[in-house]
Amino acid sequence: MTERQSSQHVYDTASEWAAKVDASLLTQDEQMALDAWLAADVRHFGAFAQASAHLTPIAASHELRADVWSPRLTRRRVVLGGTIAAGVASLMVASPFVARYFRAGRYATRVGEIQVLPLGDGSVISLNTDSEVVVRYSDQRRDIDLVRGEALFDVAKNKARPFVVHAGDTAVRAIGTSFSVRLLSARPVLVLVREGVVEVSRPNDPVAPVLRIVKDTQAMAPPDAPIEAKPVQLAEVERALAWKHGQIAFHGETLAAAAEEFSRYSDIHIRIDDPAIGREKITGLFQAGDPIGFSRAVAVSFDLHVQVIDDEVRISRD
Amino acid sequence: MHRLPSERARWLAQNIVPNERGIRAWLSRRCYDLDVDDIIQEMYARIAALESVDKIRNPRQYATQVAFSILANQLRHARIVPMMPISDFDDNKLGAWDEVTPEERVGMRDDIHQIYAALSELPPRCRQAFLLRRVDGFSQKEVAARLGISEKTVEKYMAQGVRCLIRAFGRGGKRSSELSHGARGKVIRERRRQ
Repeated sequence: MTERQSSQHVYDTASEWAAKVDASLLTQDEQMALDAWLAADVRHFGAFAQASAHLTPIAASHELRADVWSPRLTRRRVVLGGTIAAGVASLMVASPFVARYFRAGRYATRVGEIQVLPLGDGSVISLNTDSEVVVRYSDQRRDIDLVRGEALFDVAKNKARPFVVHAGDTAVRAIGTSFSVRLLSARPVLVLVREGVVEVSRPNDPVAPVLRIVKDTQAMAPPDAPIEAKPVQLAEVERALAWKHGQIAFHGETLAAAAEEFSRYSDIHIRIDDPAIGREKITGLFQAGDPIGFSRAVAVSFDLHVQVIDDEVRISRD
Repeated sequence: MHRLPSERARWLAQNIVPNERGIRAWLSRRCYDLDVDDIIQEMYARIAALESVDKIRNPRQYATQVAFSILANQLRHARIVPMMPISDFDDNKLGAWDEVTPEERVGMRDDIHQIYAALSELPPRCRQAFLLRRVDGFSQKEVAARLGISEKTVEKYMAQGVRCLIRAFGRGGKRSSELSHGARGKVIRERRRQ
């Protein structure tokens, strides 16, 4: 624990020095203090280099982008490529805060992909695996349709232009906040609020009440029942949003539920024939795109057997 | 004497920063008890201190090799034995980037979007100041004049923005830091109910 804090401390100091060096020429005293700090530990110079890199004007760093991207181009990436290239081009020449973001339109991720969409108003959508949104912005309103899957919305506050996410029959209206919405077939719509306040409603149902939910609350909207809200622990919120970093977190879920969760992120499916095994409970953090690695970790812990056949991982007793 | 010319900082921003998350993931799958931050910091230090980077054709692979040699050195001196035997840290397995998961690749690719997403956590004023410097290339002095705030405040905002990006490119945001302890995919066996 102290180790981690100390590397964090190194980063904090390095960031301050990088900002200072970037601001103006250092005085002689400052230069000496910086030299002394840099000489004290090899990590200091490293963190300082890292911090300074993050202050380098960005336009220059686009020369390399093709290099980072091109070998990894996916089909969908090509389709989106035009938008991104246009965004990047305008980024280099445009005046501040104009046209450097994603615009209205339809955005989708394939299985195993995660996409971050910064929008023109300062809001950011993070799109989880196999998900699709339609962005409909007008001068009066900001409407987003979650067609399928799951997304996290970090919303820039603007009282004059409500931000509303439509997921099936459920509408989620944000009031300057961060929240996720999940729409999976045959499951209730799930809304999780990380910051601020949202209003969950069913616009087409005249008698359904508008539910106001706050930070660290989860709302569930089942197809044929009223919307319910319940408080959740902060740790639970973080677990539910682990996908943002390409990970899945479990905390006492059954192995069967975990296997189903993994199937959202990969074409390789985990098969568990023995219901007793499926009822085993697991806790841990895993790479979302690695169902085989997950299965092997599970097998070691529970003394089970793993067999990979084509697109299937079988977990069994022997 | 440690000097960091701005061309080197830019080279790092272009070549190493976009790969940092992937390298971290690669490392954290290999070292369970060692501090990845330490290794990454030392990796940056070594690359920043190189006389020349002209001959580095594949920065990602080069950085991974540097990180690996630091890791291997730490393992030899570590008192806590990692989950994986040292023999697994075979030089031949280096550069095996096929192991990189799609999520990690996405992480490497979308650094511009990551910058925006990460900065969305900052207070609006701070974000605006940071974007003016980083994206629009105004000097800190000019940013102060444009926003009508003191240069000292701008400097503070810059440090805040940098910290935010280090976090975002490193661990994918501070929010995941608690989670990252178990990132090797450790399974904790739960007691079974009767």
